[in-house]
Amino acid sequence: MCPMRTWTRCSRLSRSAMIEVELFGQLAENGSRINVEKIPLPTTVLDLADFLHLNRDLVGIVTVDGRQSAWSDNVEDGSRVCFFPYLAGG
Amino acid sequence: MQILRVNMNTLQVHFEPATLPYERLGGRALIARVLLDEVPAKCDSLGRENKLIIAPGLLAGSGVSACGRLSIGAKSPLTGGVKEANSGGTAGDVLGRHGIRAIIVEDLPSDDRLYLLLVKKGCQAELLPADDLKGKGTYATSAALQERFGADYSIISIGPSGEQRLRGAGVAVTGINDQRCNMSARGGLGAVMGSKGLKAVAIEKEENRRPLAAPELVRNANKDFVLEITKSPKLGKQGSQHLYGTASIVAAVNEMGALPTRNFSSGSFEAAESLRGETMRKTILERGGQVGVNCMPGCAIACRNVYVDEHGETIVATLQYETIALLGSNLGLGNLDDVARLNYLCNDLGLDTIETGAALGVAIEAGLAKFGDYESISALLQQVAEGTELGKAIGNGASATGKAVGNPRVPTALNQGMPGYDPRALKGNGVTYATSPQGADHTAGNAFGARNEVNPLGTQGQKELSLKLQIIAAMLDSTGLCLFVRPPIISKPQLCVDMINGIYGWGWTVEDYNQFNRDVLRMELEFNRRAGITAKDYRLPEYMKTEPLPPHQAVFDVPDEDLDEVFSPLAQRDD
Repeated sequence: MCPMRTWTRCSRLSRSAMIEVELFGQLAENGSRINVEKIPLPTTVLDLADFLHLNRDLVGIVTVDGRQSAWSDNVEDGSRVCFFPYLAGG
Repeated sequence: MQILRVNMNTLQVHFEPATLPYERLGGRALIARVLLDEVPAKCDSLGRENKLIIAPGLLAGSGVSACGRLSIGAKSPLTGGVKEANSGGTAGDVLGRHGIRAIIVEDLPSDDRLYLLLVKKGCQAELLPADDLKGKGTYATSAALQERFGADYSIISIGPSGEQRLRGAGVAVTGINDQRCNMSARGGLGAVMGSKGLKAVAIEKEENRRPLAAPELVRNANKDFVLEITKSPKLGKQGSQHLYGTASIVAAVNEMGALPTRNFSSGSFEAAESLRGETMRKTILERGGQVGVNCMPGCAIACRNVYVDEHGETIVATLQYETIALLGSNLGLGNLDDVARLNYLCNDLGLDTIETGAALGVAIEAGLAKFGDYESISALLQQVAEGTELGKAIGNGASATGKAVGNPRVPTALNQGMPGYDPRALKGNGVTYATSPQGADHTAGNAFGARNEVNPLGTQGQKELSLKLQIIAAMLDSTGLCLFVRPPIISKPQLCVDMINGIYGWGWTVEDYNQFNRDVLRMELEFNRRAGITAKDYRLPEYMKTEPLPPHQAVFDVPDEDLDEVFSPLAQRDD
C-alpha cells in the first residue's frame, strides 16, 4: 500500500509538482512519508488519495499545509498533505 | 434508588430515597440540580455550605457498554461556578449496581482529622477514622484500602494536594484489575473533598446488576449500540482510539497548529513526532507494556494503556493526550518517558495534569525552570510535594501561578487552565472555553474532528457548533457514557432513550431526552449566574485576541457578540 510513485506515464499533463505526503495511524502500515513527484496539476486532495490507493472510507481528516481540508480542495506545488484516520478529541 | 447523605460535622450517614427531581437525574445533571437546590451559589467553595456530590450516570450498573463514568461535582474553588468532572474506573458501575443515585457529602469536620467512607452491600455505610492515610499519595492510599477491605473494592481518594486544599487537586478512582488512577481531575474537586476531611471512599463490589424495568429493551439497545461502536472507524478494534489511545490525535493537533507549546506560545512543536500516539504504541509494545486496555467494565472501546520504562516496569497508567500536551509540548518536553514520570507524580499528589501543566508553563516562562529540561521542571513540580510557597501556587493552578511569578500570559478561562487545544487555531474549542459553565474544559464541548464542515481557523459556524457539542457533552456526562461514544449516540439518539426507558420504564421520547440535555446547561448557567459570574468573566485572556499563534499566525477573533449568543437558543424551552 502507498508505494512511492510518479505520474510520469500520464500524457495529459502539462505541469507537474512535488507534494510531500504524510500518512498517520492505521493509514501508515507501509511507511508514513511519501514524496509524490511529478504529480499533475491541477490536482485535488481526492486525486492524491486515489493516486496513493488510500481507502477513502478510512480517511477521517486531511490537512493541506496545516489547514483542515476537503476532498475537493486543490493541492499546490510544494504543499504538505497529511492524511489521518478517523480521530476523536479527548 | 437511594441518596447517601454524609455529614462530616456530626459524622452521621444515612440513606434516603431519591425522590423527584433527583429520582430522574444522574451524573452531571444531578450535580447541577443539587447545587441549585441545596448550595448557596455565593458560598465559600471550601466552606461548610458547599457540598461534594459523587454521582454515577443514569445508565450505571445496567450492563450497557461504556456507561460507567463517575461524575464528581461541587461549587468549584477554581472557577467559582458549577463543576463536574468525571472519570472511568469501577466506582460508577458499582454504585449503580448498589442502587445509589448519589453520595452527597455535607458540612465540615470540627477538627483536622481525616475520614474514610465505607459503603457496603444492602445500603450500609459508615465513616471510619483515616488518619493513618494522612499525607499518602493516591497510589498508596488505594493500595492500602484494597489490602484492608479486598482487591475488588472500588476506591475514590485524594492525594496530599487535596488534603492541602490546593485548587488544582482532583479525585482519583480505581479501575479494573490493579488500575490505581482514573482522575476526575478538573476544577479543584480534590480540594473540596479535602476541605471536608474525606480522604477516601471504599465501595464493596456488587455482582448483581441493578433491576431493569424492561430487560429486553436494554439488551437490544445495548446490542445495537455495541455494534455501532465496533463498526465505527473511530472506535472499533481497528480504530484509532483502541490502537493508539487518546494520544492518536497528537500529530493531527500539531499539524493543525493547535498543540499547546511552550506556554501556548506556538501551536506546533518541533518534537511532536516523539509524542505521537503511533510512537507511544510502538514504545509500549516493544517494552512489554499494554495498549487497548479497558478502564470500565464492559467497555467496547478500550483506549487505555500501561506505559512502561525500558525494563518493562510501569511508569504510569494511563498516558493520555491532554497530559502529553500540557506536560509535554507545553513544557517543551519531547520525550514520553519524561511526560509519563511527571504524570505519575501529578497522579500521586492528586493533581490535575492539565491545570498543573498550564501552571508549570507559566512558571517556566517566568524563568523558574527551562523549557525542555526535565530535571528543572521535575524539581519545580516537586515543590508542590514539598509545600513551598511556589509549590502551593503551582498546586493552586495557572492563574495563581501567574500572579505569584508575575507572568500575565496565563492560558485560562474562568480561572481554569486550558486543555490541549489552543483556542486560536481551534476556534470551536475557544467558544466552548469562553462560554461553558464549566470554564476552559474540552470535555464540555470538544470541536476537534467533530465537524469537518466548520473551518477550525474560521469564525463562521463556531457558536452553533459549540452549542451542539455542549448539549451532547451534557447528555453523555449525565448518563455516564464515555465521551468517545458520541458518534453512535448522535446518529441514533433513540438507542439512549431505549436504554433509559428499559432501565426505568419512564416512557421518554427523543424530545424528552433532548429537553433533559438542554436542561443540564440551563441549570448550570443559572447556578453560575447566582454565583455572580458574568459574560465578561467567561472570556478568553486578552493576549489570545492580539498575540498571533504560529504557524498560522491565528488570533482568537470570534466576536464577543457571537459568544454572548451561544446559549440564546436555550432561552426558550423546547416544549
